[in-house]
Amino acid sequence: MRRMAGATLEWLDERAAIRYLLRKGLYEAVPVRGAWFYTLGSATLVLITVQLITGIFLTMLFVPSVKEAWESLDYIRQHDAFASVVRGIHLWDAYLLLLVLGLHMVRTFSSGSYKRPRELNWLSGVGLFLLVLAMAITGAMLPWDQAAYWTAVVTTNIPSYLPLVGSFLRDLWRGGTFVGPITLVRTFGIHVWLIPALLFTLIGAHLALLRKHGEFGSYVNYRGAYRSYEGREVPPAPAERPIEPPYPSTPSEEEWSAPLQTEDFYPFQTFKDGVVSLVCLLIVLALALGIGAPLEDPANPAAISYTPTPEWFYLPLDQLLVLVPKELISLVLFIPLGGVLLLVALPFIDRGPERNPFERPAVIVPGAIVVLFIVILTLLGSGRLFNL
Amino acid sequence: MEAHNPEVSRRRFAILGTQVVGAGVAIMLGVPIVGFLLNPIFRPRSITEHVVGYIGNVPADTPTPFEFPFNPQSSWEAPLPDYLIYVVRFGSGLDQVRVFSNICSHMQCPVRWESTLKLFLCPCHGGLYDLRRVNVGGPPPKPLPQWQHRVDRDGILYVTNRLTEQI
Repeated sequence: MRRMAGATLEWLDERAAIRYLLRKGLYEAVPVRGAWFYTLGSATLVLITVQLITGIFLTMLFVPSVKEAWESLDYIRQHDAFASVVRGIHLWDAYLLLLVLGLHMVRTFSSGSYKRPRELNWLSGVGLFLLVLAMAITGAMLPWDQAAYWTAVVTTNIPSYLPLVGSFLRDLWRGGTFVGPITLVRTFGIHVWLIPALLFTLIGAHLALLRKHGEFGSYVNYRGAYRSYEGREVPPAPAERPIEPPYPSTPSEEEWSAPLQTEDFYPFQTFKDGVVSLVCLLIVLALALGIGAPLEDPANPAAISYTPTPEWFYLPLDQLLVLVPKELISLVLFIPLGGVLLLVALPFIDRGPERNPFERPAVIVPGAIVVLFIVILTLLGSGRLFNL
Repeated sequence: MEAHNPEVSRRRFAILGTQVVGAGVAIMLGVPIVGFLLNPIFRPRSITEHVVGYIGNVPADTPTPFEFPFNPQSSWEAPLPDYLIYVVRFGSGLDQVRVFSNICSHMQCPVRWESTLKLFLCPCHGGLYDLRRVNVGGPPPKPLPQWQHRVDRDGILYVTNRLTEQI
């Protein structure tokens, strides 16, 4: 039996280089210290993969038509406990994904991992962040209950405040001036094919770039962190093993290019990644079983007393809609667009080699203020809408 | 001298040919796709009129909600959703009737008449409109839109599937 398995492996290896692929996939040097923080990226990937899997199966029960979308979800709510759980996982996984992705960005930002040569890692990450947000908002439009309908109305209306092309973009998304049957199928196609096609392509690039330059990790792994401490030279921690690819062995900026101590990705990092991902999935499953995915009354444009409330991740923008005076209404678009531009520009503005967050107040302080601004808008918005 | 080298000109021909083929494929796919995306926006819509009902007993200066079936898009046949309208009568005659949409000019949320405030309130971002549909508070940039309509001799209101202004 063992011999047969061995022979099969040989056969496959000769034809498809299985061993090479496994080695390439699993063996890599990763920085040792702070490795629990590096699990956020893989947790993000796991949560996205769960979305792909549950999403594929949801297309086997959900009908993207104004006539049947709500009906199909109402049916599974009443008659199909398993499908309801799958839908619950899809919803709560999306929510947790946004949180974990946010933490992953904060980690990358504070550790200065976006610096040379990893600028494109950061840029592809910014692109992924925007695509995940687009997935979240298009997904919220699909169930065609009251919440989904009014989310569709308000969300597709936001581009209309762009100068010149605004109304055209709104009508293009909606398939007309008003929200209707075309809006739902278009948004379904965007959610199920268009964005995922871009998303998974960009994930491939993000991972390829990660592998090309190696995980940066944290400043504590680098010689630069031990330069001086109260005027004394502090000796760096001893390197446990020689620098190996993908880290450069002949570094141009020695202090920050290769970590002092590395260990194998498999099994040391994969173990930590696995634990964190498992915890994430347990949380998702608990929420899917305990709370599930809500379904309000069917979409009804004539409802006289319905108060649309945005998805929680939309609250900062919603609060901006309240705060911005009507003469400057385009600001609701230009403030978030400015934020995205800052994210894009970050690795080109902050170019010094220093990675220690305590030595980079010029970047960390504005970053913290932006995060605080978003949190305050969220709190104001939830206070206004939910009387918290 | 390049032109006399057959290898080079063959290469240049192949490069040009690849680009032409690529452009051809892009146009062949792009034109139908862009056309199909744009078509619903520019497709002409038939103007239809819907009977809303008798409005002779609508009280004066009090916006009164009615519904009418509205086809929001030029699309295939789907069950028509009802849209909410506010019928406002200024004075006692039937000639001073206006039909306001409930579509907030800010983010298109559904506004409601608050009789205690004597204002239309948008529940989303707190927009306010007065009895004459003027945006008097909050973020809305324009007055409430109105529906085209007519009232016949017997006091029956007909609403056309068309707003009087751009939203």
